[in-house]
Amino acid sequence: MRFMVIKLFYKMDQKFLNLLPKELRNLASDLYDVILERSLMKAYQNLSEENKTKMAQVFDSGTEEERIDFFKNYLGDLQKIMIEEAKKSAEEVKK
Amino acid sequence: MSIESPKYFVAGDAGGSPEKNNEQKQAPEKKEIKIDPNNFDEEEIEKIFKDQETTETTKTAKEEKPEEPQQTPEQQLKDEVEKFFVEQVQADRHFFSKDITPKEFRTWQEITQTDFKTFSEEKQKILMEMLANELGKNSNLIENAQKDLESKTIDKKEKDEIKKGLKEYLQPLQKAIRARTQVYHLALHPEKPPENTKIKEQLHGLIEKAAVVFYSKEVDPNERIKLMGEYSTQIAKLLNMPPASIYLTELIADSKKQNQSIDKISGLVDKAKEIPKPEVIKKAAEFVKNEEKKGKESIFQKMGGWNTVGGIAGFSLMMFLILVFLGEFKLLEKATGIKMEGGGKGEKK
Repeated sequence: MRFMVIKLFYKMDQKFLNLLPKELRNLASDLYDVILERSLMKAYQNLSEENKTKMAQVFDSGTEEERIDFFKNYLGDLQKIMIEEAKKSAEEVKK
Repeated sequence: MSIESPKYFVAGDAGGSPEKNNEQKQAPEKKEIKIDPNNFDEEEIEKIFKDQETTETTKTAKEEKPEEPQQTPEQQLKDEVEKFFVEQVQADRHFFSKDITPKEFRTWQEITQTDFKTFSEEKQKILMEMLANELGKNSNLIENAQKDLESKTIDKKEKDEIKKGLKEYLQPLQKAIRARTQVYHLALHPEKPPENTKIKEQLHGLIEKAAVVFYSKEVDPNERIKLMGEYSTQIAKLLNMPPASIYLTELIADSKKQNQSIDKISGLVDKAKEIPKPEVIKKAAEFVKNEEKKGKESIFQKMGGWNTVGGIAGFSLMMFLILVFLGEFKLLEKATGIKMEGGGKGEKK
């Protein structure tokens, strides 16, 4: 069941924006960036100093494969963080 | 009532038509008693005769002033329920003759069901019987009216009157009776949550439908929004969630609410932009977005799909929209299996 719901969300993601009113569509795209950056920042803050340096190297001059490996090995909980961040943002909007 | 005695207003109007009531008051007629020898109810017949006697007695009531016949508690209850029924069905008929929003309909459903649940079993039973009878009577009237409209022996003026009666009275009444019957039925027999396997099948069906609508170029964009909102609601229902408090379609229909949300999101985005971020975060975010744009070609997808990084950003956006528009955290927990800790409606206890 989880897979199916996720599959739907995945299918919808970017194109979902086209379903929104224009004003909301542009904003949703900005929001997309905010949630992603906030989550990466949080994940980054959880890293050790050594890994922070490694991340800087990988995303500055590493190969695509090295970047993916870094995500897999050190940012594995990113999806949970992103959901949390989405939740926090929603809370802020609802206030 | 705004309509003056259309042909089909008198019979079967839930006992609530003022015209009908006035006519009855002015010229009470003796009821014709019909008894089916093969199928009769002694108590009912006794009641009919008793009623007949009561009518006769009432005619000379002024001279003789006999003691008023004492009502049995059952009869009192029936009268009380009938009065309530007539009032409610009339009110419902007015309500359903207008264009009502889904929100208004849900509010009506909730109030009606809550009231019904407070009634005694006996009262509930009588109400259900009355509704069933009224539904039958009204269906016949509608059927007859429709036949008359097709008839060649009825003139145009009368047909216009019938059409008006159908549109302004019988059809809203039928809608009202059906809706009330459904609400009462659900109160007596609440829907059981489907078993897991059934949920999966239904969920799968809904997702497929949603995907078809989503990718269809022929569907009008407004209609797509509406349909996607409906599918989200149905998914929430399937997952045994309470009705969503804010629907995407309603939000979009309500420009004030929409503008408020837009202003708040705007403020949130501006605030976030002001916070300085290390260069590495910007680069990592850019990397994720570029990969997402590749869709199925994304290396993340090739390596293992959603459980790696691919799709996360889009997914989180969806999460956000659901959270804001559907106001439902529990749905996320159920959908993702991820416990949502912290504040909010869906907080895990």
